[in-house]
Amino acid sequence: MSRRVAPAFALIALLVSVVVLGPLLSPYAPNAQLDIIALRSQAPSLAHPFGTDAVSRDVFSRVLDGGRVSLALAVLSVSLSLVVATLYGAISTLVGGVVDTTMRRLLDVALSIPRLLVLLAVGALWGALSFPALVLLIGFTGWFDTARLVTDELRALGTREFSVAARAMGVRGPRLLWRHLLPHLLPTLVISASFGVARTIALEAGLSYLGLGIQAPQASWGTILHDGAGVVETEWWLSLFPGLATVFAVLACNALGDALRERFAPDHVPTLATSLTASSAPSSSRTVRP
Amino acid sequence: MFAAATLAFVLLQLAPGDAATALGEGTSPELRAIIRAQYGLDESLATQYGRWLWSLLRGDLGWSHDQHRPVAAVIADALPRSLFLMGCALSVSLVGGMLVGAWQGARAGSRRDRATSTALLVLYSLPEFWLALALLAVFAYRLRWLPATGITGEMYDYMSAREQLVDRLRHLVLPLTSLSLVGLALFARYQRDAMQESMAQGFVRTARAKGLTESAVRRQAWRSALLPVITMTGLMLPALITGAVFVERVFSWPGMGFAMIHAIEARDYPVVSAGVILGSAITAFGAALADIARDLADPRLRTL
Repeated sequence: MSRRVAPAFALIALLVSVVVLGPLLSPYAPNAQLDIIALRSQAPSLAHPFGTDAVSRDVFSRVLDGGRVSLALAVLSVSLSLVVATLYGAISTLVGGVVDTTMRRLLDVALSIPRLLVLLAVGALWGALSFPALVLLIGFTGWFDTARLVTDELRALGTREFSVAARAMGVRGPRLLWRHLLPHLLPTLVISASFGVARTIALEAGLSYLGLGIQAPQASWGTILHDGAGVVETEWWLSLFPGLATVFAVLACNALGDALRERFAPDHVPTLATSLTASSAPSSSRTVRP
Repeated sequence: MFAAATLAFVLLQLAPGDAATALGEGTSPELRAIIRAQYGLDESLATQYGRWLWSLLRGDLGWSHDQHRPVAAVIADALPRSLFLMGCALSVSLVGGMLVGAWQGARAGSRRDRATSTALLVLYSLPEFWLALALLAVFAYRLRWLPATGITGEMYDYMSAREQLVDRLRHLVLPLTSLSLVGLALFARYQRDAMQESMAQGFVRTARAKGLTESAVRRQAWRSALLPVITMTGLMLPALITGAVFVERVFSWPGMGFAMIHAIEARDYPVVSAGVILGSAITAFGAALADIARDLADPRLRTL
């Protein structure tokens, strides 16, 4: 079982340490225009391992600095999504009755809206979005599937012996949720979060690549890709290195999600598909099978 | 659907700027006022919303300010191209993913299975647009084997029918590959898990005990492992519209994604809202279709 957890944690550790130590490792300031004439669009060399861009900034330093922004954006917005989703699921399940039904229907509606188009539209129409605004935007549009997962899971947990026992003892409301249900929900949330971070890193790269995410001159993996978009043929290093960094980060998070899933919830794929199938057969997907 | 339509309207009204702003800085205030009056943009929000909803119900999607033709025409141009590209990509990834996943699931836990899983995880983690960029750089720019952009070449109108077909195929290869590889990894992961689960079930042991060959056993197990994949396919249908946004952009494939990005940049709201509505309609349709297909594939659900 732990065979897959260890390499995944190694990947994550490497990713985090590179990002945390980024400022120490980076040879130049990420936005410094070193020599606009002599060092313009240089191919990778010893002095500039990832080359330089059209205004002579060191791409290696920018990838390191951009990683901080890309990862921070992904982690913050996914955390926001998780909190909102858990609250929504908890309120829906604890209150029950008509409220529960209505909230579930609302979730169905929200899930049917194509998120990417909304993000593109908002990003383009509201112009340059600040970092906090992006976190809010991506966080508040990304919690619907997690909420679906939480609602299904909580409902299934509610019928298990321990929670029936707790309710028989008179435990109610937030205390039931916090002390009895949430600990069982945690693996699901962590797994969903690691896949969520992976998805959001790729999403940020995509949005910024179109010029709609993080705004210049701040580097992020997507904005460097955006700088290199028109010159893939000649200045390939602008597309290659931030792209590889993105793939590496997404891979690390996906590997972590896979490994945790195998460890904690072998027959549980926390994505839309299971939550949809689960809704037709409401049994806990993590219940231990004979 | 209704909620999505309302959301689309509210969202676009909240956004700063309208068709008059998009004309640029140099336009005189008088001209802007005339244009606003012409499109009814100076009326109250409630009036605009009512009129918009009414025409939507009659099937009238509105008028594209930017392209000076009905929104329906814009979509009628772009939609088939997207459907064609994504339909091909979806079929390739579905068939390929099911084959790979079933092969893996039948020998789950073996070294070959784990090696394939790792490879699929890497594929699955590739952002589609970056894979597209990489393919573009290597096959179109460096090796010059395949054309870089568009659906057809410049000389398309002067070619014979057979050359036209070859030309279209050559333009299809790169976008199709970048979309299918990622999709294949997605489907294979689901198929593998489902197959592994179904291989562990009682009826498989029964089938083995009856002395069926291993391949016949696998066929039976595969049938029951189809269900999650069918659900997934239904959920992937909206990707027919939105999934290719980035890839269409990279290859300048003039489909829905390309049209949407263009419309957003030109502040062409009717096109944008039509796209959002279309997207959610297809999502609802896909979910319903998946339910029906599941009923067809699963005899246990049929008797209900």
